[in-house]
Amino acid sequence: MKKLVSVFAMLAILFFVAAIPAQAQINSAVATVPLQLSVPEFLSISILSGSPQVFPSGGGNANTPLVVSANWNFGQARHLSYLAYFTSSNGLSGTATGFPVPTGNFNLGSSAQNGQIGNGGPCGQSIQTINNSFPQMVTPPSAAGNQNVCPLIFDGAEPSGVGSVTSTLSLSVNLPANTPVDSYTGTLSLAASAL
Amino acid sequence: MHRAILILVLILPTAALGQRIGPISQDFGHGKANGSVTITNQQLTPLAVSLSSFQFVVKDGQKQTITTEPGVSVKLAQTSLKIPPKQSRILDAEVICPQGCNVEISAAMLSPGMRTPSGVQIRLILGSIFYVAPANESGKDRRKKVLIAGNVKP
Repeated sequence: MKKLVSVFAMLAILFFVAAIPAQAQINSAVATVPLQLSVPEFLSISILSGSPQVFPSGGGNANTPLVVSANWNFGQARHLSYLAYFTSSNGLSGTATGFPVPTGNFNLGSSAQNGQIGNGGPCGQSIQTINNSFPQMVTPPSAAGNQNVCPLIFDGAEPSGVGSVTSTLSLSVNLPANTPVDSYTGTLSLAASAL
Repeated sequence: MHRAILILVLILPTAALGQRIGPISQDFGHGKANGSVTITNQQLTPLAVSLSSFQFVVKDGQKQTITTEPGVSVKLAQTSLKIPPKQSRILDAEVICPQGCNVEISAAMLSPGMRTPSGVQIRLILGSIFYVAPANESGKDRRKKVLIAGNVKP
């Protein structure tokens, strides 16, 4: 008897389920939303080596190897200027020699190979390509308070997208024998901007 | 392989000394610019930033700095600021030049860690440019127009 009841119950369930009218599936229209993603452009300079060690001493000659990297993310081709220069605020009678380039790895493309160095700048050097080494002898001014500027101008490059340039800068300071160490001050500046 | 890892380990702690600026340039019209510049301190120590501005022209394929012309006004919300480690600061700037002008906001950054015992210090300088069109023009493609006029590939 119980078995018969359960069979009828199952049949009843099937009957009611089958009696439910089938509903047609209604698909909504596909909505599209334009997705805009913009990565902000930026320009940065990084010091890849540690603090430079310069220990000029009386009659000494110290070198400062410094590995620096300029990095950029441009949304369009831009005219990049990258400078490194050394300034001394006190009146040294010695000489400072800057050896900015040799280049490390360039991924600027062929158009970037026509950089120039100090077009008639304070160091009086002529235009050279960035692939050349260019020892620059600079005589600091005799009067205190003047600036001794020796620029490396890496200009004319027109990179776009993400890129970087790594350079090894070497600042050589040669002081006369009678210059006390604590009288020496100077700043190595690294500047970058893009038109 | 071990050498590469060693080099990477040596570089990583110091690579964070980089500083960043953005946007690289902005176009404004009608002789007036109200913009902002974001400076990011990517290092692990506070960063002192000194801000200045200068006017320039693009001529014969080169950027040439000029003395500020009469009628040109540049107002920076701050001329110096200190940015905590791994943070950014937004600097507001207003430029007014009815005849049109190109102004670079220059951020000079001195890091306390980048100074040698003998006094040589390292200064990083990054620039952000405002291209401002004259009062009777819109700022659309202002940069492009300036560069073309200056014989620079836009």
